[in-house]
Amino acid sequence: MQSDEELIEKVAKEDDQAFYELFNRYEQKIFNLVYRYVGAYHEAEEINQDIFLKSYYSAHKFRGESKFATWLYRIAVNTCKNYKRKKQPTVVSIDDPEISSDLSAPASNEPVAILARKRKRAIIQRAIDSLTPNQKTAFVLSKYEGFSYVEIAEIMKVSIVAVGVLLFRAKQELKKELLPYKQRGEL
Amino acid sequence: MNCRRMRRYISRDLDGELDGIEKQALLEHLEICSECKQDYEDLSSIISTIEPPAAIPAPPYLFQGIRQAMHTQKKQPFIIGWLKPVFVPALFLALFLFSTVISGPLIQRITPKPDKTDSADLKLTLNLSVFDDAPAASLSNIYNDLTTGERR
Repeated sequence: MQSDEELIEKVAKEDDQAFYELFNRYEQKIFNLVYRYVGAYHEAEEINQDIFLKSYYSAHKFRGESKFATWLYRIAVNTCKNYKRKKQPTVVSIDDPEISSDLSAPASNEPVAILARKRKRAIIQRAIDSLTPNQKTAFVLSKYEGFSYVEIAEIMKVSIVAVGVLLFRAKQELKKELLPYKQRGEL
Repeated sequence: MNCRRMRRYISRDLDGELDGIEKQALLEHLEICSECKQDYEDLSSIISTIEPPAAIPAPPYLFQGIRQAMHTQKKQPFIIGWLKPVFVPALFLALFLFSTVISGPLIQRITPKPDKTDSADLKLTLNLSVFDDAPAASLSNIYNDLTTGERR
């Protein structure tokens, strides 16, 4: 099996089959990262397409200084940051798959459970959206994607100490935003 | 050990980034500092609330859209991509120079100069004596009506 780095070299020489192979390897991971970052399914679709197109057109810029995955994640988080900067705060839709999957819940609890879940997600998403773009990126990569400080530092092109500071501040901010809800039993 | 450093240890511990010695120091501190212990409990409870949402399958038609976009936006030839950063600022500079240096005298030459007749008309227009024939207080009444919203 060819490595990611070999494939991206081929993409740079306009090998579309190599690009398809890379897309298949990373499609789910990148889609979920984007979905968790923006919190809305349809926005995630649009951004995901943008990320893969950017990687296709800038394949010739990949120098092999980092792993392909790091490079792709960097494109992904930068695209998400730029997108969120331009857009209004996310409104979580009832059509989102995560929410509508609740439709399989017991009939009597259905509407109440869906609404409670939607409300909880909206509160959390709002709190995460209140972080600075860098705090949010570090938090999503750490908490949702499970990356280590070293990996986050590589993706964000900052020092490991800076990652620690970003995550410390992010947690303090989230505590300030969410603790009152927690204490009232709304989370 | 001070609380400030321990708060940072708490954050790193929740991310699984503390080594054995640091973890031991944190545990010892939490036993004697109720404030930091409270902070630790609050943070862990908040962080556990925002555990990652379940993974969602990407839409099956995603690659179709990408392929379509790939075929419509053809790759730029290398030379254009390389020259773009040079050409675009040069074009803007040329436009700026044209609008200021070259077009300035041209516009001056094209624009007709006001002649004496125009100046005389202007003076007549601005001369307030044209209102002399209006009935006394008629203009001030109109003004007052407009400001108060009343009608006579």
